[in-house]
Amino acid sequence: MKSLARTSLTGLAAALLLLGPALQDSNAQGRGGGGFSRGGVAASGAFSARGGGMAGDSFRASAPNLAATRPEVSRPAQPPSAEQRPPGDRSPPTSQRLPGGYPPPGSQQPPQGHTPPPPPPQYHYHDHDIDWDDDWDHSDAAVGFVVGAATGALVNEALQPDVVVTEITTASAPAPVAVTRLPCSPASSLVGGVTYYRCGSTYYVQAYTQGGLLYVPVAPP
Amino acid sequence: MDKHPKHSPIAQFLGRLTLIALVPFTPGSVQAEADEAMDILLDMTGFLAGQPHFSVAIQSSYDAVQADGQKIEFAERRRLLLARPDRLRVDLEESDGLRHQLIYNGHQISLATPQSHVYAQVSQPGTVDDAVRFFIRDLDMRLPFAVLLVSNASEELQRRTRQIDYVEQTRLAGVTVHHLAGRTDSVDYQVWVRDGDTPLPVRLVLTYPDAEGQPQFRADFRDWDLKPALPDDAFVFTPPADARQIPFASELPGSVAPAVAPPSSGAPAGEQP
Repeated sequence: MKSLARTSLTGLAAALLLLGPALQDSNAQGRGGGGFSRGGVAASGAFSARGGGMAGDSFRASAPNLAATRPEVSRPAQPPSAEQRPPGDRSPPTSQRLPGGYPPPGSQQPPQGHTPPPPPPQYHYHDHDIDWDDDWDHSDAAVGFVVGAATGALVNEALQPDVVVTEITTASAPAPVAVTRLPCSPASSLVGGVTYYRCGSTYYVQAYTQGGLLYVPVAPP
Repeated sequence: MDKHPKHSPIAQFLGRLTLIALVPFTPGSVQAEADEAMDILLDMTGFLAGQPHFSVAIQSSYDAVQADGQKIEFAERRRLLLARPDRLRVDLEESDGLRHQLIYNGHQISLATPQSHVYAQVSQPGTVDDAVRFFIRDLDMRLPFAVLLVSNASEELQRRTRQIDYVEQTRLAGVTVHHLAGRTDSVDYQVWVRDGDTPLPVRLVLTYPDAEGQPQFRADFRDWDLKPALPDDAFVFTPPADARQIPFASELPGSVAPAVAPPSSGAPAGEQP
């Protein structure tokens, strides 16, 4: 019994040692003290998405092409416009009032839904005749808190215009990433109307991002 | 308001029995239901796009999937005031109390966070449609359910939708609504549309099936006002006192900062400027 108790205490101590830095790290970095990222693909509330979606994922991750995996149901005619319906007639389809009219979760039934007609010519994907991005509202990826260091490669991504925060994968090659709170009491300088904050040899600029207000590492002014 | 004549319970029962018998053998009915669902969706978007101005309160929440897979829900409250063609205001409060103010006046997009004493501002002459797209696509900012705000929302949603179904008629927030379920290439969406002459969205749920943890975004639309007060100063941006202007991250040059030792993980957060 004593041996068991000793083993348990040893395990508990080891766990605390392991968890300690993580908890400390979280408390140091997270708004609200929890260290949880507020970002992620769902934060966008967009009707289209790209990226893996984890809070803090790299923006560069691309989602599988669902168009290739979801069979489409062709629909020959343009759906009637709202104007074609009788005024005030927004009653549900009578058959859909039936219990169970909608496939239950996990149903293996083939898709039976509406497939819209091909987009009008002026909205073809990658149509270079017009300045238009079909998925302009997409969530490119996640933006969230950074609770540690990132690799140098990820930092490169983090500084691209559409990439602000990346995931921590390892501390073996640490480099600065965008953070919600500066890791030091910074020395600030105003250059060209922009306030730079310096922590060590790293300069940060506070900026608005998908994930809110962040300190983004930048080149020295 | 349900404008359809009420039938006796017996008639309804017999009608349903008939439909139960017919539906499995009527392939066309499935397509008809999908068409009906699309019609309701387009009614909603067309109605919204046709409103010269409106205001609405939105209580939303979303899942933030953490690096270890844990799913955390965060909430937000928005008050949205739109006056076509060129004015938009969004007052946002995050669940931690941080408030932001987004104002578009036809010339400039202004975003302020008074508690942090900062704001950003960019020039964007044009319409709300232009500003919304610029805000998301070029400034790389987020504006949930932005598609519903633009004047061609019907085209936008119709083009994105690969499949749509009518789930059921139900009641939500005290009104009769149509529950629709649609799918785009990357998002599964559900929308509850008010029945009757004002087909406004009452609830919206977006699921990202390809993202880790399949997170959701949920929004409840309340207090729709199609004739909102439009005070003169509603779309006038005044920088908060002692606030300083900061950039949008997308405006920052793409230069790479030198790699340095990581911030000490246990270090104090430091004095915030």
